[in-house]
Amino acid sequence: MGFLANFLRNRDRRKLEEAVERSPSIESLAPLVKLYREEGNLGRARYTAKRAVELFPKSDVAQRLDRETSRVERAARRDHLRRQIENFPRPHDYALLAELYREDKELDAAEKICRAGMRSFSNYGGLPYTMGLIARDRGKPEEAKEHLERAVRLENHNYKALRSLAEVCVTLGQPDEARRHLEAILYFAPGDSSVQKMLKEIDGGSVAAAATTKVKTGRPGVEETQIEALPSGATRAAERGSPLDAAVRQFRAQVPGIEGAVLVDAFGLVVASALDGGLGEELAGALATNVWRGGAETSAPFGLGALREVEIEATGGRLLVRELDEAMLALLATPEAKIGLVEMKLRELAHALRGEV
Amino acid sequence: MREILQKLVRTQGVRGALVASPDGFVAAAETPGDVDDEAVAAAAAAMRSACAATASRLGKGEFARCVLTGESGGAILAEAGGALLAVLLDAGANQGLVGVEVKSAAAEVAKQTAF
Repeated sequence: MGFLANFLRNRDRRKLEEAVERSPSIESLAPLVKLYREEGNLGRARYTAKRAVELFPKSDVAQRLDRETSRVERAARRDHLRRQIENFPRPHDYALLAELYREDKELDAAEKICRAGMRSFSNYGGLPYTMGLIARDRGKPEEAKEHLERAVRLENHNYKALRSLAEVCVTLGQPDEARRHLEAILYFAPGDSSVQKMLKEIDGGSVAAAATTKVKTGRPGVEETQIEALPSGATRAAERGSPLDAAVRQFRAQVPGIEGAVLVDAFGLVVASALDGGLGEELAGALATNVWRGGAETSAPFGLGALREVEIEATGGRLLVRELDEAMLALLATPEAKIGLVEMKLRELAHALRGEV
Repeated sequence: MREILQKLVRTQGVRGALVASPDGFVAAAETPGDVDDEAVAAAAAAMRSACAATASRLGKGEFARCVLTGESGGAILAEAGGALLAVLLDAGANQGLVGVEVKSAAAEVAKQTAF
């Protein structure tokens, strides 16, 4: 019976796929999306639903398909994260799950998850960051500011936390403080157009000067000695001592020419690293995240679709940033590094980390 | 400059190419009709700025080239004597082969630009 049902289902799917390929119509797209959803193939369901919306933007059926698929996908994502937390809790799983609830406007549930995560992982910046967003959504900017300040203390090069903190400061009528946080972003993201726009809105346009000063002197408002005093990447990794750090360190040791590696989660926070003493992992992570953000913005006018990898070649070496599930892996390499070998070992590392990030 | 770009877009896997000024304006373009040249030039210049700052912060010297890979295509942004050469690639293009052509085209463009 199971075999016959599978056979009939496969046949129906093939027919619908052929019909969509031949001449896409809402009558063929809608049952195909539903079939994919029933089979648990949510990636194909989402792709097909988006295609339906693109082809038939005025169709109510297409819009409903897209909404329903998104809802099913989010529910599946929630279940996956809940199981992950029950079996092998990791700080970013709490933050991701809380963020899903926050986006669905279930703020009490989101806060409960954040607090549970913070009890176990008090040094992870993604949780106070999400708490800050929850407080902001509740219309409590003072409380939001406290949480976001804590997130920035834990990860002082985090773009999202600094940006949200600046926005909250603007809401609270504290432009000087907002400017300081925005200028801190320009340290690792010089020329960021949205930050410059916010700065212009705040003070009517001495932005270029602020950015230039920043490049020369370090973070405005922060002494160089404070930057130097931040723990190095190697120190942070040793403190964390996670299996992810071990995997990244092993990868680095196996590939000649790789000078450093940093694994950054969906919140822009470093979850593992293998760096030499000099370079701080937060700065390396912030620079990689900034490059990725720039690449993602560039990919739209270039028609590249979803971004998979960015590689920068400079006269003294390379930076390679690659998507890895919901995380990002950044590699620093010498000009002599054999890219073929890097690619091969990267695939092995991606396989080893899958399900771990 | 147009001839350099025309030659480049004849390379297998190259969908289009343009030269942008450092401030993101189009200096020359050989791109398909569905590409918004002005948007590409502006985005390429912004990306170059982010890449150059990153290379400098990491102590990696001067920015030379950036390769972007997406699910439906790729792009190479190469320094060309102050100008920027932006090359759009098909998905699955041989980046090694195209890279050699881009390097040569960037050197040619560099000879002709004075940004």
